[in-house]
Amino acid sequence: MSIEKIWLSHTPEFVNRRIEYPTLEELSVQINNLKSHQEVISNFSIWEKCIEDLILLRWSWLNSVAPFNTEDSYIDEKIENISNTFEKIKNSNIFDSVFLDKITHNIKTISNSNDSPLYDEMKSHLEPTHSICFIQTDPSSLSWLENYTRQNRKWVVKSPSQIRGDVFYDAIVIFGQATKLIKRRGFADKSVEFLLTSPRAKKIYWSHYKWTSIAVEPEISLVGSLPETKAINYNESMFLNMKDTSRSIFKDESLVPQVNEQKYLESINKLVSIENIDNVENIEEAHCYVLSKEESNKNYAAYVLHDEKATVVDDFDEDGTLDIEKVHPSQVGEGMYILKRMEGADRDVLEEIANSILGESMTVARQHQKNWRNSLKEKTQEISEEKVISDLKSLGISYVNKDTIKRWTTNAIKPKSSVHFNILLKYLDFDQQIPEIVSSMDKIHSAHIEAGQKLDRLLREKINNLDVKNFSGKVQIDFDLLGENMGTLSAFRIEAKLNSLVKVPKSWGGWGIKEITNA
Amino acid sequence: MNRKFVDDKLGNLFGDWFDFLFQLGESAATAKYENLKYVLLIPTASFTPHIIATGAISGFLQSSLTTGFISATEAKEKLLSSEKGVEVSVVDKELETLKPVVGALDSIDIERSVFWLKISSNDIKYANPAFPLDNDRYLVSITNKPFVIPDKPIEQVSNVDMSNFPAYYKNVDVLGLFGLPKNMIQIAGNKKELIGQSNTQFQINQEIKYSFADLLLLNRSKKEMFLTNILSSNEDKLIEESELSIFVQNPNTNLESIFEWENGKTQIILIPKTSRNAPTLVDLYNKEYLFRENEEELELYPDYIPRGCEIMAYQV
Repeated sequence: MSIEKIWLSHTPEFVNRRIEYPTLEELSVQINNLKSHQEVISNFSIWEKCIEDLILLRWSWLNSVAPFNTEDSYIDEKIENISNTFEKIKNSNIFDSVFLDKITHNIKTISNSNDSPLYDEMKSHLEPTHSICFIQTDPSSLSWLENYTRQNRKWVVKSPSQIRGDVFYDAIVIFGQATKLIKRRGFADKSVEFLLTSPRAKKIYWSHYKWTSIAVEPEISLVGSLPETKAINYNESMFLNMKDTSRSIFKDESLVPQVNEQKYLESINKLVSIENIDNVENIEEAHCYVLSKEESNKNYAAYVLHDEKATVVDDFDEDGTLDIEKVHPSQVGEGMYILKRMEGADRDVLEEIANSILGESMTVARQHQKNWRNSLKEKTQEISEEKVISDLKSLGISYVNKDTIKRWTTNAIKPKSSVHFNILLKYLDFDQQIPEIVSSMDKIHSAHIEAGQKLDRLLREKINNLDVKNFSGKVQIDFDLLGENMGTLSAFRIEAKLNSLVKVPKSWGGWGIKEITNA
Repeated sequence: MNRKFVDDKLGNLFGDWFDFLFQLGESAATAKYENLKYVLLIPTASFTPHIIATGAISGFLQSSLTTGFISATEAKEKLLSSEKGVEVSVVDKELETLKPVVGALDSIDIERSVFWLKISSNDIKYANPAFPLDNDRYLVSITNKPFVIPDKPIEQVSNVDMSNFPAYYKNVDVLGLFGLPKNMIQIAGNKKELIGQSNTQFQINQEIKYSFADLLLLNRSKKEMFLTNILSSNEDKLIEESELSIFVQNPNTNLESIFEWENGKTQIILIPKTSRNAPTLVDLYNKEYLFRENEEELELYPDYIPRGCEIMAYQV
């Protein structure tokens, strides 16, 4: 693919296609009216689940490219839940049944319709001889879209990840809401904004419903760079066009299904207070993921400490098979599977495996590790952390900060640079033992790498390249990796991620999941 | 200049972007800051490190890193003022093939008008060669860095035909490439992808075929002289002595793993906007920029920056 074309493609032509579809628009207004109805607000506990299902249903239809009557068990389940709740409410005569019947009528009309408005309207504007890439953001529409575009050899359907390389099209077509694009299946992958800032096409079409906005502004930018060199200036017509929400009734963010975060936060605080943690050092900020797993009306949550990575399973490269990756917690979201060790979760299995690899040298090596870590901890208590940081900086370790000190005294085996490790050991008055300590840490480092590789290998053998369908519809999948002694490892489907960081006992961020009362 | 890939699909290799990347390499080579970092957010990483690296070679040839090859008579003063042990290369013009003798400056005898290089630590087996100071048959290049004396002499041989290099490297004496230190540039990223691009051929004015592997004197065989290494982004494999390190966020790599690495020299970090790791890496380097030691705004890059390229330079 021509590198020159990619270099020169910084200002694509942008076409904002606002699609009309009155029935869905009417239903959206009805959902909002129902949500803000006094009776619903007063008795929200009765309505909560039904409102949630209505919002989820609306979100699916807003982003669906396939005809509305395409078979979809997820949508069917939502419609059935809504219908059942409406029936119960109508039977109890606590609400205007005519209002509910109108909603039901619109839901039926849409779900029986063979219309695919986002695509149908769009198609008439596309030039058949042009190479066109339809961006797939809604997996449930994938096979329909692939079949439909097959009639033109120059038209292809790709996920954003499939066009990260040096490819180039006459046009790309994006469907639905911006949030769905940026947070595909909940995966908060902001990197897909490259579709706007480093487009692989001369033209971008964005097809969405007329009464919704798609306001989106790129966020990934180098703070020290000159604004005028950015690929697309945020005041350019493309973004002004997106920002023009004057004609839109619904802003993108108001349509996105939300979790009742406040309730979960209160519940977590309650559970933490029961734990009776005396030492504040044992409380850490963590990301909280509400899991889809439900048992006897109880919800569960998994926690990842704020400075650690989460091990998750998803089809990251979107090739139809599962992959395991360690990713930043902010990138983990709804629909992904988080891996947690379950049985035997009270101990560090990686350290245990590493110790067995170390064999006879384990005792001496671990003692050396304990010695220099403790010495660093003591030094920070003795002369203050700030002083230690400034001393180490003046000795040439320029990047050191509080997080570095924390990492060195807890998780890291040693500083990455051997030069810096030598400086640190000298600073801690270990001059005479440097060769022995360095050699011990090297041994531990190698043993941990070997242990990690062993675990990774076992995991990948079990999970990698499994068809995505293997996980489809499941909320928990258990793996027995190392036999009885080492316990099991489970993958849990994430229902939602809380926006706020929560303060929880440090141990919660380790293995295992915790009950979370959604009361 | 019309540069075009031999493979038609790849198109042209010239224009504002090419010029910017080449000049950036030149600027990076001549920048006088310790631990200098350039971070670039770009549309594609393909061929980008290679163009920058060739620019850097051009820059190094113009910089004070070496004197370039000058006649022994001309080099006399510089040799007298250089410290013992610095790397010196000598070429005998009368030999058919250019085979520079590389060694550490050992001693100078003004009365006899001779200087000696130490080319091996084994003095019994390998004699230290002497060269006349007042004879223009010999060309001398003097670096400003110490030469690590090997067990046995290193023979500087290149099987690359450099006769066409002047069409690519303008305004520099390509013979100077022999005088530049080994391992001068390292490019770290997805090794397979980077090497593949290095071997991709392009033509200048539809005539001679070039590859970046040749232009960068890439390390392909232990027997040949080389200036540039292509490595995987593994901290343990990085080379401390490299004057310029170019780190590329390629598929199946993660530059986070070498974020803390430093050798006191210049680094150029290339982040394609399409990379899944772009948000994390940009956040990481933005934080480093905001908390940098030297708050001076360093605009050590070409005046013209093409649209679609974000760049920042800072000292850590």
